[in-house]
Amino acid sequence: MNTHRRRLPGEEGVWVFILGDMVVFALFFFVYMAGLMGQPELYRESQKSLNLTIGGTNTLLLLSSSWFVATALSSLRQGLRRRARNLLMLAAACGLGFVALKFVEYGQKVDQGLLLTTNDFFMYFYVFTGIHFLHLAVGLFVLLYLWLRLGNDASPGDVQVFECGAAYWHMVDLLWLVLFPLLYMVR
Amino acid sequence: MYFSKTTLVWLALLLLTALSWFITSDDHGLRYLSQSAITAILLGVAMFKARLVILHFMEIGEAPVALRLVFEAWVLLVYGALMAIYAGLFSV
Repeated sequence: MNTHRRRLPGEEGVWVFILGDMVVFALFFFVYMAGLMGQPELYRESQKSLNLTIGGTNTLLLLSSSWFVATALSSLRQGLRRRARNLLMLAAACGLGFVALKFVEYGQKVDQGLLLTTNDFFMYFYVFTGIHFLHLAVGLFVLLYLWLRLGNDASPGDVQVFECGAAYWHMVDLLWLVLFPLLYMVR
Repeated sequence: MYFSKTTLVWLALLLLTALSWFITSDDHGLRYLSQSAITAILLGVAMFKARLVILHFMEIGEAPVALRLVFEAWVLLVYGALMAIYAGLFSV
């Protein structure tokens, strides 16, 4: 692939959306950090209840799902549609693993009596991880759409559409890469 | 090389994740580091990982320079603002 000529993956609109979403999440990050500095002892104490193993596993799942999506795009560019579809399924499987662990994690918290209304830390925890989770859920539908589309005959716009979907999925991944250490580790 | 660039980036991301985990779990041998230093490292590593995803998975590294600049700015501004708030520059 010619790496010397710069090109825009996907199309402009998806990048406007992605950047907008990243700005919104940046504001979430700032608000949380301000909250932490406002009530450091409360946040640090509450943070101890978080399940680092689930959070860490979820990180590995999303990183791997991005690898599958990136490799699927590469396969599609080489005309290997079946391979791209299989890799999409594996990416989705990782995403579903994240969903399952998220339910387990929230379930654990509820069992411990730690709810959205418990204190400011848990309000931010549920709201921000919840909004991220909704983004991931949308991402799963995006992957499904790409998978279905690749089942049809090849069409000229296939790669560009795939690039758009892939970019969105990678955004979901990178937002978690910041959110996870911020909520679970920073104190 | 045996591994594609995508795979190498993924491996780097895994390693950096493990590194952060290590730093936060028990601070083995890092007891001389202040909490502030650890936070600066954790967030720095996080932003660097996000940047790897942006440049290599999202392929912004090969996108028009203007778009790349915007993403690089996001990484720097988010890190800068988070550290500034952490350092107490914007106390409410």
